[in-house]
Amino acid sequence: MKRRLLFFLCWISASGWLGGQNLEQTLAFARAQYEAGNTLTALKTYQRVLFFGGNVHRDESQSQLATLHASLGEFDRAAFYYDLIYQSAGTDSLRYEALFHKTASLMLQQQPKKALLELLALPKNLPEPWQSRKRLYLGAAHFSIREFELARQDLLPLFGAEDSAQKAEFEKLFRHAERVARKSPKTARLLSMFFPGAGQFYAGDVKNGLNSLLLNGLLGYWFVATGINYSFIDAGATVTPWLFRYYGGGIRKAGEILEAKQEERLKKTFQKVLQTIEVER
Amino acid sequence: MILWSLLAVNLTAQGHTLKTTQHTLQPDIAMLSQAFTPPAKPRVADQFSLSKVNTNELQTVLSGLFLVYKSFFSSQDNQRCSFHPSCSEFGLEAVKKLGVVKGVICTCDRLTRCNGFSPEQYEIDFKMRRLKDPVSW
Repeated sequence: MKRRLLFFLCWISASGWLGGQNLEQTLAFARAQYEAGNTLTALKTYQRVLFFGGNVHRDESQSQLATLHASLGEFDRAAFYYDLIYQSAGTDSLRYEALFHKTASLMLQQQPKKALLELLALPKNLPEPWQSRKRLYLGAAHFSIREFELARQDLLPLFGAEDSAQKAEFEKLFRHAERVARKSPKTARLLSMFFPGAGQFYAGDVKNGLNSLLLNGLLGYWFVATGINYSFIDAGATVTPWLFRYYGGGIRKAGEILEAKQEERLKKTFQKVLQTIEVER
Repeated sequence: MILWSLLAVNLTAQGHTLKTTQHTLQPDIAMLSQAFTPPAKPRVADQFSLSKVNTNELQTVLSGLFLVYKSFFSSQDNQRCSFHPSCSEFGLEAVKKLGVVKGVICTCDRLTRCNGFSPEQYEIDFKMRRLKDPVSW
């Protein structure tokens, strides 16, 4: 009891001159942590500054929090903070900047429709360089949702008026993208239904096509051989479950493989489109 | 981090104000290029790291058989197994944890139970939407 009383008296007497970090000290600490690359500590400290500071240092805290979340790959949180910056921005240019950052975060989250909604909220004509940036992001969002003609119209003004090798390459890449997107998963599944592996070949996956063809071919041979040597009732009882498993699986996989391959090829194509824009500019 | 630092230039805090400085499309192109990077396809052996840890020749052979099954057979079928881990993964884990004899016995026992006739006997793994059945002796 005496020890507790002593501790209490010491604490009471010290509380007059002991104090916690004030807002400015916390902000200085957050900046130091950011500079030192201690992302997590900087993040927590900036959150504290934003929470306790209210509108004081709000702009800095929000932008740093957005950047830190994005650098950690937490793009949903980054988009949230960019949205806060957008809401509280005092100038149009800052508002646009925050919106483009939010759009980039949404694109990195593979949410092109949400990104498109943000971009469509912008005025139709913006001063440069905002207009070019808007066109670039609109093109990317339209390309992601496979609206190739709209994406082409968005991106084409980023090239000069005269014909150039890059412009020709750009047009060629768009034609390629349209060809890639034309293939249908339904067709792939139908092909695999009639001839195992054909859907995978159609999707451009030779390895899985051969695999499915061989597997189903062997099971088919096993079915026929069992039917001839024993009876087709025996063949049905022993081989059909296996055949159903791999034949049915092959049909389903053909559609999945086509979708995955399409996604991969379209992404690579758009990366090449971005390269042509980069060279042109 | 570097990429975001590049973009962050636009929103860098200068005292109490934020300023916009970007005049080129380079940072945006770099960012979008990252967004359009296709996801990396992991190799089967990398997905099942346990198959790489072998203490004797028999385990190496069984791990090899497991990888052949996963690459050429399991990759072609519908998801059929009722349990998590799946029977093949259970077999590999059992052999590694319990040794070849006990592991093979456990795997045979598991294969006879993999029919979905008695789900009430097991806990449900809601994340995997499968019945839980870890290796135990």
